[in-house]
Amino acid sequence: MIQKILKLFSRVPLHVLVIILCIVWLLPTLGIFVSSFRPRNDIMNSGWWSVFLDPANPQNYTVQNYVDVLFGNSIWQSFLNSFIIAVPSTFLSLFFAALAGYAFAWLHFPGRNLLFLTIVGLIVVPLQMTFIPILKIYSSTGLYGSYVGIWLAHAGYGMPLMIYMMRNFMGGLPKELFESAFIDGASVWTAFTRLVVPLSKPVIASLAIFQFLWIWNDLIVALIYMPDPSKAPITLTIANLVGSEGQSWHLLLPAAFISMVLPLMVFFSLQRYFVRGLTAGAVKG
Amino acid sequence: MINKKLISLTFLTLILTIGLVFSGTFVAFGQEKVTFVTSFGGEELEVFKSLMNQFTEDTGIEVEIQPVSRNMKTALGSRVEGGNPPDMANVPNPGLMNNFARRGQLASLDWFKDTELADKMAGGFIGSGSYKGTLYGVVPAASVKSLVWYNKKVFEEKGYEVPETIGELLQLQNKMVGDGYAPWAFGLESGAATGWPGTDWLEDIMLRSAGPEVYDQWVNHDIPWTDPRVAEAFRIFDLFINDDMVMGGRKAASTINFGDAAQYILPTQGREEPRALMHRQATFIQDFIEDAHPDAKVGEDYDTFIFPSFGKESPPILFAGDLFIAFKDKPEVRELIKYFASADIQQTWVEENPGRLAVNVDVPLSAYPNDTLRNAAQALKEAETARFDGSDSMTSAIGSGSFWSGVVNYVQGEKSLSDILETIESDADNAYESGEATD
Repeated sequence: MIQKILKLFSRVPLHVLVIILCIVWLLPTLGIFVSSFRPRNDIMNSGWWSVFLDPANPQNYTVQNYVDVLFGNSIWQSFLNSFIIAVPSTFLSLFFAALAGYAFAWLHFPGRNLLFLTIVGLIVVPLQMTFIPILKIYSSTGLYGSYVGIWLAHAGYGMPLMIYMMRNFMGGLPKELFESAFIDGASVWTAFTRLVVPLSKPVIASLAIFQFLWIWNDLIVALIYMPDPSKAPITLTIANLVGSEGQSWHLLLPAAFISMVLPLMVFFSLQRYFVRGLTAGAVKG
Repeated sequence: MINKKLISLTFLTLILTIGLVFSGTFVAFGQEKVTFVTSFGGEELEVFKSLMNQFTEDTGIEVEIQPVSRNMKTALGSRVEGGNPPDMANVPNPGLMNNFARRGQLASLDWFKDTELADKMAGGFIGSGSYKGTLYGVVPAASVKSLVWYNKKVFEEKGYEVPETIGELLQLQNKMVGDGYAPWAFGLESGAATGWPGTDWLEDIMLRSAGPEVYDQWVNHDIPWTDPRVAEAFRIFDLFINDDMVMGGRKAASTINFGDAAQYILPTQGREEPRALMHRQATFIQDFIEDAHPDAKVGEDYDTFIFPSFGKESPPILFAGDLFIAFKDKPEVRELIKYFASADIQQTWVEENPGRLAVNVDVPLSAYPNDTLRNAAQALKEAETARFDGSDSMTSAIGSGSFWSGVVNYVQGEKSLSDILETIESDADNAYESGEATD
């Protein structure tokens, strides 16, 4: 009994710390959320916390900012564009990373480890370094400004980390499964589609979420490879809501929330995969 | 099994073909069109688009506007290096234009000098669009930076007069302190660009205390930062921003956002009196004042005067503007530049986007919505001396780097002036030696 109470108390500092961390992380988001419903000149004049002085006063709130963002701009088109960019990019990178992860884990070919190390080493290369060479390739092949160009760019940038995660997870699958499959006459391809893919669902799902969120939130890649504003993703359209001296920045508040809706939905509906996938490949089975 | 393999292969080929077809059409349409990368955003962008539509209606030339917001340097720089330059762009700083020009990436606009329009440009604009004698940038609309925004009501109540010399301005601010006011609302914070509002102050002072010729030498780094005339400008700056003169004291300046600072010249929420009476900032700041005080009227509640000179002579004008630059010389591009240099389109622009001032001297003053802008426009038109914002013209390592942080350090009062100037000077030496910039 005493031990139980002691145990409970020994956890108090940890819980307090966790709660403090949560508050620190959530406070700015809460501030943006509250501000996004405040009238324009209130935002400019006082901090978001001042609504709590008079929380029941309806004059403190407005949906005008949301109306301005949703109906004054091409935000719907760019919301759709974000999908057109993010979904195929995610699919492409998952497809190739799964194949590569399988090859690195279970196929024997000369130079396998060296190649794998090279790819893993690419994780530390900042993507900004690749802009100019890739733009040169794109302009000579006509991929510049096309959806294919940006799909390939996103798929490529995600590849090193995804291949690494895939290989580690797939390498942890029991060897006996593959031995018996090959004895039964399965081809390399059959083993991939019938064994590896179904068994690797957790890692595939979590990487899909990671990659989708990363692409959805990306600004810089779109800025460089997508000059055509009618194909621009939501991040780029939101950045252009603000004037060149920073005028009308209050529109960023509702815009941030509109852009956040989808990632939040993805996260909450798939969060069990998300947490499971984080430890994928950490312990060899 | 084979089916599955086939399906995925077909799928892949399918997306690749569709994409190539798309990108193919993109190139095919690109022949006639002018592509224009712009830093405009929000309402400015909407106005700019409508002007471009008018251009298309009048000339039949299609324009594709590609907004990159405030990421101009990254977006345009990598596109140009990557071999994908747009036909045209507007850059807010001559420093960036000079970088492109030095590498031979820009089309010369010298043909523009032979048109009648060149004579219609207000003084200083041909010079700031040139690099080594060749014209690369044409400015259609500008903003005047040498403006002091002030609380007109308090000025009238207290009988303050608009100062005509720097001496009078110094006397006026002492009088304000005596009456219990903080003379200046002063804010330096601007995210990664914190410090730039202070560089404008120093440029305005330098232009007056040392004269335009020394100013040019300073901007081009023909005189070192350790030159006594630079130090003198900093010391004059100190007379305006010392603890007694600025709202909240000098240390507060780097935490006050430049856009917020202007609103304090009028009483902010819950106050009877304004926290300060004057604010030195460009024409565009009116947007910010209107945001914070939708009921206040420019010309009644607040107004502007030109930052005075030392003597009674007409003060020199510091301005900023968007340089239209071209990466390709083709007839459509020339057409567009001429169109935007003409009085008609500039008049529409300043009418629809208040805060901008026309560069073409034929645009009538009646085009401006209020006296404040009219006065600024007149000052720009008539100025004997006008210079582009110096920090924008310096090489970016200094003009968008060391100079900013130097000003912050100076205002904070944490380092001695000679230390600050030596640091900027050694950074400038490095920038010029490393070939990032040339003298």
